[in-house]
Amino acid sequence: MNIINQKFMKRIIYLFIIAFFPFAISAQENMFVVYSIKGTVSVIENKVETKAKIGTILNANSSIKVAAGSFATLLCNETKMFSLSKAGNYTAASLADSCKTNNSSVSANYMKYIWSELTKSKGTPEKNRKNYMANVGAVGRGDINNVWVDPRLDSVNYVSGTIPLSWKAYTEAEEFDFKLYDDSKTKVLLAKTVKKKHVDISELLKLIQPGKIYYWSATVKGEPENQDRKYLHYVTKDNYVSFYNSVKQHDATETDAEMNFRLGFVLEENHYIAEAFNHYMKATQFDPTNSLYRFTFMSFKKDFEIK
Amino acid sequence: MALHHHIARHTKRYVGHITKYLYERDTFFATIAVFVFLILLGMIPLNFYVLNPMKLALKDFDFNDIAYAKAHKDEHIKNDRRIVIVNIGHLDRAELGLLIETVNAYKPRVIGLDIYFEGEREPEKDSILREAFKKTKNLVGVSVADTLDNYITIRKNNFDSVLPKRGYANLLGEDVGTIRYYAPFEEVAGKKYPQITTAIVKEYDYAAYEKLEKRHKEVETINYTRAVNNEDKKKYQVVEPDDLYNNNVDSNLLKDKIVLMGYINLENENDIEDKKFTPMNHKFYGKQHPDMFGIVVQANIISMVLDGNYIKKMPKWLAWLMAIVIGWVHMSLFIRYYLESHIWFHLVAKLAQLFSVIFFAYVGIFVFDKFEVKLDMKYTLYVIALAVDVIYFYEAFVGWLHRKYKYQTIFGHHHNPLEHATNHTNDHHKHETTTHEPTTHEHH
Repeated sequence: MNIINQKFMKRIIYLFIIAFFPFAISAQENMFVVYSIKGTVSVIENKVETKAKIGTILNANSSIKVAAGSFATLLCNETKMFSLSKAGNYTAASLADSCKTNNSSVSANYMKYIWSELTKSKGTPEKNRKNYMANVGAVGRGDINNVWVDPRLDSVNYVSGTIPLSWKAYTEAEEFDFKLYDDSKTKVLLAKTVKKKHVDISELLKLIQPGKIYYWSATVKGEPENQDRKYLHYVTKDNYVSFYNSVKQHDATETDAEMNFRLGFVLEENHYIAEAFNHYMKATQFDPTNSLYRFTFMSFKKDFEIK
Repeated sequence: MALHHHIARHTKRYVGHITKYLYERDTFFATIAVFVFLILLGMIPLNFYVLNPMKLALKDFDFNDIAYAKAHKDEHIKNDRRIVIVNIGHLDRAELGLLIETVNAYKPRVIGLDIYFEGEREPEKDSILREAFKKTKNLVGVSVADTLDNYITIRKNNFDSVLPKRGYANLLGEDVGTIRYYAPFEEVAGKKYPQITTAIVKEYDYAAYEKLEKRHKEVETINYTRAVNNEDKKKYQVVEPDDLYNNNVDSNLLKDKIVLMGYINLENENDIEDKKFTPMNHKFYGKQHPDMFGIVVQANIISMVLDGNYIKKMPKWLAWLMAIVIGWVHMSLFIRYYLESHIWFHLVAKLAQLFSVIFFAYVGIFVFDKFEVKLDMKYTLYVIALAVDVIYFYEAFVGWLHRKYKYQTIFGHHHNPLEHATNHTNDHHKHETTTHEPTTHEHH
């Protein structure tokens, strides 16, 4: 009887260990090491503030303080690196999310690569020049960055709907820092890291207001900030309607398709991208047989990377 | 019919496509013909690849490089905290002398200096450097190994007397492109002379040094695990001199560690001074930029030796055996389509070649990632690539044997216009004079 009880207890203990093992693992503390610093960065431990140094290890109760204009790069669990560039006081617990690593395996990454290569559209610089023009082509002086924004997106007048603010990269970068600034070009309203090469305006709607001007930039993650700011004007509906009515008036007779195509062209010229898209689309719908309309609409979608 | 029966039936049918001709005499002989062809090609003394763009482009190609470049093999590797790299930038000799003393004040166990000082310069600066060398007993310096008439000599240097611990920093293969190998020791004037990383490991961890020595390998494959670049990879701690002078470095960061002093520039990715091509390059084929500073290459070698994490290579006999078995199976499949569904033959062959390359490259990468074993799949891939062409040659050859000596073959009249005219049937396999069922072979 005693032996049976012992066996039973053993099983219970094993079951307990197995059940709580994952929690025990996840409860492990993250270890942060200061990899590099610039400016004024300090570590607060037991309410004592000391200057942060390269190689300083932060424990679970420590926090790191970054002054304005300074930054610190930390290494979590000797694997994941991230930077703190915004002034503030960060506790070790608040940085836990930065320790998350990509769990994809070598096998999964290999298969992804093979699939992307198999499905990649072919082309040569001779026949598909736009895909092969992502370079400066001249000696660079000043801030040359690895992000290129199509001149068509240099200025965008936005009213409604959505369009992607897109860019291209000269390098095989996987992550980009997108920033949205106010009209002074200095105050950052949004800073986010994205894996895609575009941010839809719809994602910014909570931050922008009609009638105001904003600027945006994209930088390859880890590279010096791109100083080239692109213009984004959130036009009020009244202003847009007034402009629209002024261009809509036309003396010559025209079909619905012709009118929409003309308006699409004029709106595109005036940087109303989302609105131009709608008119180009309507033109193809009114006259689906017109190859010029179709071709222009397809090119427009491709140029602005509208899916 | 139940689904599993349906699946089983179709699986059996497709497996049958491969195995139908597997044990045919002609399948064996055609496979052997592929190897004969391969050996004959290898015996040609002339380099026919001189203007072959494929061969030239792939000269420095290794499938395993995909493991780093695209499959992110190194993603979960931890920083090696035993090694700290101190950037020497463009400091002059006097400034370097001061930097060595500053580094040594942090009490590292060994300092590796990846700089060669050619000739004499300003005497006052040389003196400061010489003094720093004298004071720093745990310093390992660089010498240069020259090869002359197959003998290796060490170049004399005016700092030799104050720098007793030295090793050559030469790496193998820079002329070809990618640095994949290094020689841990070389024989110089009848004595064993260490490479700089070997000399550093000897000072830091004698057990690891002994293990390396006992391997008796003339050449070791470098197991790259960590990169330092101006993107997101910084798998070794890099310290700038200013941080050391301004007391921005924790006192424990360098204590009892290996400090490697060398040139590294993370500000400018276009700076290629002392930058090498390694298998960790994002671009693993074609023209590219070098990706890793020499000091980081040396750091990777040290990490490998300290961890005993050497790359094992598949024995050559096993590579050939795999090539024979896989080539034989492919040959069986190709012959089946060649004889029975000739219209699909080239399509099936090309698809089989494509998927075989993808699959065997994956097997190689998987084994490399999990077991640090480099599979040599090139013979296998050569055989698969050549098999299709050899079938045509083999068919012509056995056709001749058949006409001359009545040699029995499953190919027989296939593509033989004379026999086509007299004996053509749609089912080649049942042709009475030239083909026969596997069980009724008459071996002559």
